[in-house]
Amino acid sequence: MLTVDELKELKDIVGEEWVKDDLPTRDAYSIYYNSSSLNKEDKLWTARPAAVIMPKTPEEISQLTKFCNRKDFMLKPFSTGWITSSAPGSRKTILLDLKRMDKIIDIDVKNQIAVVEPYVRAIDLQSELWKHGLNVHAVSCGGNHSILASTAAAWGYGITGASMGYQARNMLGVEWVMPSGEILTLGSPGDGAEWFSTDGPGPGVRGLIRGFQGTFGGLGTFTKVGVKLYRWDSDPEYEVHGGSPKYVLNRELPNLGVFILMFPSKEQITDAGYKLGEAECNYSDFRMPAFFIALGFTDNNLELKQLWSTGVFQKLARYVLTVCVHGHSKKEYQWKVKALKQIVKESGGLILPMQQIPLAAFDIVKPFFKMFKNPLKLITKIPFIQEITDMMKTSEEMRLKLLTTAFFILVRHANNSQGGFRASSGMFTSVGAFDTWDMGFEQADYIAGVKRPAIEKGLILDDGGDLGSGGTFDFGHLGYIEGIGEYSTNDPESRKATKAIVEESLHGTIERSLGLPIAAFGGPMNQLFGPHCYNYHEMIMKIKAKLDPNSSYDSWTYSGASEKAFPDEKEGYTFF
Amino acid sequence: MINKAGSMVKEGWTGPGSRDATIKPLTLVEDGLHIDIGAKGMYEWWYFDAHFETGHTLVVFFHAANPNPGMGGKPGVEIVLLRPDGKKTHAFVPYGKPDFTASRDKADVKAGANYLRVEQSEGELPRYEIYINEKDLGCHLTYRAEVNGWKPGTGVSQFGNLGYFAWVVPFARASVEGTITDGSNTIPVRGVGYHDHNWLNFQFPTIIDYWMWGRIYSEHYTMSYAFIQCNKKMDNYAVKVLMLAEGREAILSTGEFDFIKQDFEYNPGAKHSYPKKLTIRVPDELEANLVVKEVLEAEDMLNNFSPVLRFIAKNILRLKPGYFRLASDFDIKVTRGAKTVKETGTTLHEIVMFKSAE
Repeated sequence: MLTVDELKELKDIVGEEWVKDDLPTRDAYSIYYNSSSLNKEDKLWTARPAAVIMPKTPEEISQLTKFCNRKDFMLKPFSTGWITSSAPGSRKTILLDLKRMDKIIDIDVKNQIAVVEPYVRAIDLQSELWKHGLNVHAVSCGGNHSILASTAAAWGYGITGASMGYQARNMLGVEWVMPSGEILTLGSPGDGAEWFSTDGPGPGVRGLIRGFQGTFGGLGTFTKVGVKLYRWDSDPEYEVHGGSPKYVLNRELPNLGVFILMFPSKEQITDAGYKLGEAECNYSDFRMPAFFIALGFTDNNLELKQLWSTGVFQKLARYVLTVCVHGHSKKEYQWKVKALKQIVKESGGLILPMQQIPLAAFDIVKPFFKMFKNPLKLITKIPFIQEITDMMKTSEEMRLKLLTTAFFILVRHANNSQGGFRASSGMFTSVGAFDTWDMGFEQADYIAGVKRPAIEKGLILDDGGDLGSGGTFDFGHLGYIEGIGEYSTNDPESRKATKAIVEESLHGTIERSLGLPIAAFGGPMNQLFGPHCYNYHEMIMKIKAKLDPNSSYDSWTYSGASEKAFPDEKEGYTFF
Repeated sequence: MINKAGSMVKEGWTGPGSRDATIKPLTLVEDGLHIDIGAKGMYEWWYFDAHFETGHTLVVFFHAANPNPGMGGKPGVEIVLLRPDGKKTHAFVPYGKPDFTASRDKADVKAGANYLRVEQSEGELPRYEIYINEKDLGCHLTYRAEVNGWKPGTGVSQFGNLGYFAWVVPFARASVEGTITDGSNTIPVRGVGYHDHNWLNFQFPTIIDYWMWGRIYSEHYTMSYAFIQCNKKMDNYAVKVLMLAEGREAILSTGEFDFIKQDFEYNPGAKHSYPKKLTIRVPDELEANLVVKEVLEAEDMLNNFSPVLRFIAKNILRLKPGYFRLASDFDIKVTRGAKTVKETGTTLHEIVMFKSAE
């Protein structure tokens, strides 16, 4: 517990109103999405932070860091991250909630660079950028995530990765309050130049602070970042009608189309993914598993249950890639659509009409689908099937409704609110190595098998097993699919089963050489995966020890439990 | 005593902090057997007490493995009868393993002809029946729970690698009715009672200096608390647990409270000083004051030991076990939202000391 003198010192740094040590505030910062995954006892609550501080400037953070160098406390910064990795790892942790640092500092339209503070959300930056004909990569946790966090501090996978890449590679300079308290600007801005590179003259240290997964607040605080922008050649804004949670676009946006591509086999969808990337057709893409497709077709869980129980989606939509095509001119858009259609045809796929199909239709076709193991394989053999399909028309409103669902996922990143939590209240994820597009599907197949026994016992939601979600990156040079599952947050048996699935998948990932999963960060995971990956965990611990000898930053999600943590806070966990 | 940094004690609170935001009623299975009977170093017992309108106080233990020094983890029953005139009779009757059975599904224990059983209908509070017939002492009582069963967090506190201690309270308050047998007299009784259940895998004196435990029964509230002071092996950590119920519902389950011991007075019977005033305070939620008006029992527990054990405890282990049963006046003030309610009454509470509490 902070003493009166210590509290006064902290208040002198940031101002009295920005230091919170009252119980209700600290309790509010002790609960996170899936936080029960962090302990063997299935407890919902994490360690209660010693205090919550909302600094405004890097200089304030520098002083707070120096305070923790002298005292038996640690800092853990976070911005929008209401996920367990943002949780305090110890009762000695002072959380830095960076929500007061919310400025878009600069948008360099000509050079396509934005400089932002930690609490600038993707959706806010994107909305601003569209006015300038620009766009930004957003990661798949949704449009409300911090651009600085995904660029400089953690993960970086997202649906626009097809054309905009992994977010770590979009970093163009970063301002860093080091664990010592020194403020360092890395890259070109550190030399007084503009924000155009994280690596300045001489040896680059980008890998030190960012690497693959990031430092998750365990190695200082990033206070500004330059981020590479991409072109947006459509309308700067749009209008909708309807109401929450289903808004509908009033009209299509120019130079922008969304396509639902269906393939009879894994080989066909992967081949198509590579070809689309080669032709640079995919502004963003998402391998939409069958269950999520069914979810997108329905407005509520009752409809979803009825639709899913027809069994049609399990057979028809096993290999679906939703693709957003964006042209920087009308002509380019038309060419890309043409190329996409050709690629789908060559790959033996089918473009689903962008029509909200009446649910009753699925009952009608159900008997046909029951007769065949892979009905899509037969359907795609029908001559002129694509042309016939293209002629299917329902109302304009029905068309716009489905288009809007896809638009919000593929362009505005409102994916989790629509898909992740609606069906069962809880979502977990697993596998998710950043590797080839083919290996993404290997991971999806593997985790589907791991999930199956729990599905059969009714412990987790029956999503068909394969809820592998992800897409291509860098126009097909890389791919990413993570193994999602849906469970009941209210049912201890469901939580237990989920934890067992994730644990099994961690070991299975190693046994099957499926790469470093999304959960491969923090002490226990580094210890597990490091020996199979050049002992990277040892390097992380050396970096931490060298740069933060006084444990001024809580490192449970980076190098492992902090030196300063209590003994009971140094136990292992299974993050999902 | 302030809990120090670096303590090895891990309490079972489900959070946030050392409290339970969600308080779930206990299930029947949690009052079933947990240990393997006969396993070395494991102890478990079911505790019942009752204070009757006749002035009698009765305490009954069903031991799957008796934790007290010299008892060697034996199964059996223990009964203590405190009569209105202050005279006490205490007996432990061991039973061999074949004569002692306990279910893991619920409280269903048999020790020879003695038994403990429970019934509970859906949505109702449980009804316990205990029957003891031993050496001119006995009882046949029915406890009707008036408060939901409770446990602090997961119910289990881990003391580093030295062991764990588990505590569940199937009811902190019940109406009791039946008969007690005192010699040749069978006395109809009615009163208020309590039941808890413990299991652990270490001996108390190895890591605990003393504990203070008690309840408050007022018109609208039931409070149960414990303050367990660990020794230096556990960095002098203090385990604190408190439950407050309003009517049937537990509304507070916490270890975050001030426990203030004042006005110590030496008692030659127990050879220890005890606090004549206790204040328990959960800021903005609860304050209770207990002022001792009578020492009902004060005992040097070494007197219960065999001569050999007494010598070892006193001269080698440097233990001075003392026991107090105290009668106190209390006041309790409960604040919920804008409403504060204050109630008063009298209560009994206990202190067990291996070392001084001053």
